[in-house]
Amino acid sequence: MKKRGSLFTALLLTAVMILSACSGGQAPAPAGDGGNAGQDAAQAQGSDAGAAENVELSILVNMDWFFMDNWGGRPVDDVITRETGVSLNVTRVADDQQLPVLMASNQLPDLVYTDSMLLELSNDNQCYELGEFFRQYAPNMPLPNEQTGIAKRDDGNFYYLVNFWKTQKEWDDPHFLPSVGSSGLMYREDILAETGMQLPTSMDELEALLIKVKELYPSIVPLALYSEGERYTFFINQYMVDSPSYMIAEDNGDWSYFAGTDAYRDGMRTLNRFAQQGLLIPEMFTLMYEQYIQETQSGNVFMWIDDSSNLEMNNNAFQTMGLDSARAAFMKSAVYQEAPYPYVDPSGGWAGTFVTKNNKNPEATARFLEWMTSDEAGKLVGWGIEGQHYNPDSNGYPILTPDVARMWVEDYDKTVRDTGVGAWFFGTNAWYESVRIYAPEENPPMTEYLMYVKSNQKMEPALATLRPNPNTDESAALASLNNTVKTYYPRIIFARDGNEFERIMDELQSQMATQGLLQYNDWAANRWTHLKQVYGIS
Amino acid sequence: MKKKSLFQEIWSQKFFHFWALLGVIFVFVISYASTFGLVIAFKNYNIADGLAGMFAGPWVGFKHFSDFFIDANFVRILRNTLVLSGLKLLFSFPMPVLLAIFLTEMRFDRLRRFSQTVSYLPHFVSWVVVASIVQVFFNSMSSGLINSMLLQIGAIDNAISFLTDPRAFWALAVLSDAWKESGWWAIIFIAAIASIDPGLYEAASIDGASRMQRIWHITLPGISHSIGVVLIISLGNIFTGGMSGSNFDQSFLMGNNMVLDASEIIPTYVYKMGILAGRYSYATAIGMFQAAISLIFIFGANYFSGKLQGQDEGLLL
Repeated sequence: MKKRGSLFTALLLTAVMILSACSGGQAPAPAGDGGNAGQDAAQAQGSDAGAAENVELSILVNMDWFFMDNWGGRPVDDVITRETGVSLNVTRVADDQQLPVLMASNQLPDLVYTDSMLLELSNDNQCYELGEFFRQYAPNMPLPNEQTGIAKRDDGNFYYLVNFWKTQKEWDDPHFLPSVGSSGLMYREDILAETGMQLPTSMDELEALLIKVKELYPSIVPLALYSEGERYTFFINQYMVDSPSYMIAEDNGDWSYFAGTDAYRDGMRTLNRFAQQGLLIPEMFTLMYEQYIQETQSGNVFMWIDDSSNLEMNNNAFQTMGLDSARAAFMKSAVYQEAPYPYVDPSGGWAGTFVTKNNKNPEATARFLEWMTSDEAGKLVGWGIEGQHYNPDSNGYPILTPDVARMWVEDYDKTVRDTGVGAWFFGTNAWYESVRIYAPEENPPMTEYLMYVKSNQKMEPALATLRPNPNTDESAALASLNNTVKTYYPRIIFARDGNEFERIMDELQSQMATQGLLQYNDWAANRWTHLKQVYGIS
Repeated sequence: MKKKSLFQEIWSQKFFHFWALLGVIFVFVISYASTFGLVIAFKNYNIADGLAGMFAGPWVGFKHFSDFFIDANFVRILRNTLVLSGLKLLFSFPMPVLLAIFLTEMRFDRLRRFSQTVSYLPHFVSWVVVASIVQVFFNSMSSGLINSMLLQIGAIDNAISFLTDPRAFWALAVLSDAWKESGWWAIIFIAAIASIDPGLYEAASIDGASRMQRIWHITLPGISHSIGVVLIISLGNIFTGGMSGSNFDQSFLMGNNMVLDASEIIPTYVYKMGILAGRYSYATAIGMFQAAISLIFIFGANYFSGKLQGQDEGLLL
């Protein structure tokens, strides 16, 4: 009996060890309910089995913030499946490591939808070259140069279908607005009214306003900056350096890494002056993204950086907090009017769709992507279902139905999750979503702000391709430079006095010099000269 | 009686050898076979090549190592790693020993059990939660408990920037590490104390030894071997945070852009360079450097521990 017990225990242990070993050898588990990417691929193969309809393709969404982690049950998803015969088995990544692990272990699913690692994935080993792919499987699919040019490598090949690309024609459309995710400086309108001051038109006026706010409301944070993501780059681009991109800036006629320019030093000097007067609070730089949002929505901040889509959500949050008179608004006065180089929209789209070499059904995939880039699909994913979510006006622009218009204003993300509109932009032109956002009657604050942003921007598609290739000296230099500058950013801002500020700035400059600053500048200048020739920029 | 051949010997114990073999295979695959990946530290690995990239990438010798040594961040992150681990060794390491002695010396059995349970419970709280607790307690905005309390009682005029001062980061890291892990590691020392012959204590009491003398002359020598073993393990993990291996979690979760000057350590730099910046070969070289130094520390600690115990060889090897 005892022996049987031991045997049973032994077998149980063996089973546990084998299971543990199996699970340990797999790629990290996805956050969503789509299952493992490798399994997804197998499912796609199994489920297709030669059938022309109801094909399931696995897709990795390499954006941990993405709205949803599954497919189906939403109006838009269901129409796409009906039209293409394709449903997606979605895996949304849980962290930054998942895609690299899947790449290294050759376990990529059928499709990858990503806003990062675009150049790393652009290779013949892991993904299809899409020019050849569509010539073979969807020969009639239009591939505009404005779209493919963004993704093209130096050898002319391209591996991803970029979304939110646009042409000058779309940009010139009066209903066309910049991305709904455009950042801006948001402020409390009610507090501004209390100060009796006007919106600032220069950094000096901004400083005077913040000082006044601090006098009137000592417990409120006058200005809350953030040192991660787009909120970090937005402020640098818009208010500090004459930069068409945060990676490169014009400096006395030469091209340079932005943090090496005199303008950056001047901008940081201004922020240091702000900090010394208590207009900036160091704690704001310690917050994680959610905490930053929580703090700005608490009513304890006068001015902060936010997405244009969050305006009404902030106002709702104020109401919930019992701050009935609090109202958020976007600062539309040009603080940096004297900038010689206007803020540039690089028109590079924000995500790409890759067809991997593990794809088990290239024919269905090509059919799916061809439809997804059509005008019909653009209207579906950008506007929704006609009659249910919108109705077209006489000029072909969407007029949102009242309920849906209210949903978009009240909670943007929830509306995407509930309807599927605004999510699956696989190679979709920017125009579709952009003209839906244009809602001067339903959402005047956001529309006006985005129109203001557009009026201060110029389109420069060449900038989207100003990026070093992976595994090159310049890409290594850029990674080190970005890391160093981010490390120094709060330290410089909160330097105790002018002497310490100059000392830390000098330290930063010498650190960057050892990390390949000049080498990167040379590369950027040469690359930009080349791009100007290619794109005919004067 | 005819002596059994080796095969017969093994065959007669096949059940046990089967289990031993499973362990050997497990250790080989997990601990040795996977280390082949370290080869990319000497190559220019391209992730686009997948696993084949380990073989296909061009050899670059020690380029990534030399790049690290001249990296502008090298001195800072090495200093942070060593100081943080050194402080933990200095302050966190004695805590479990003291706690174990304190608990075993308690007269009331129920209180002793209760105290022991309470002391090791924080071990099961994840660093994510601990980091949040630290934030709630120590932030200098209106919601910070410690600052609010000090301001309320008039002990300070202005809130103290615990979370934004790089000098405070090390103190917070050591404190939170000691709070979280002391109770857990004390279990080892409590077990060691329990194995000391009670007759020694009785004899010492009869001879008139005070409680402190009994601790000094019986308890501490009695657990010195355990202390040595734990010390060796701690030194082997010195780059990852000593006993608890908490350096990465702490620096990643409790560190922020304001204290990066003190919180950036080798493991977080490996993460940034490898995962975030995609410089896999470079990150592997840094990780390998860390492993090599750790190996030196573990051999050194083993040797000196042995010497302290009056042995010619190390305690473990």
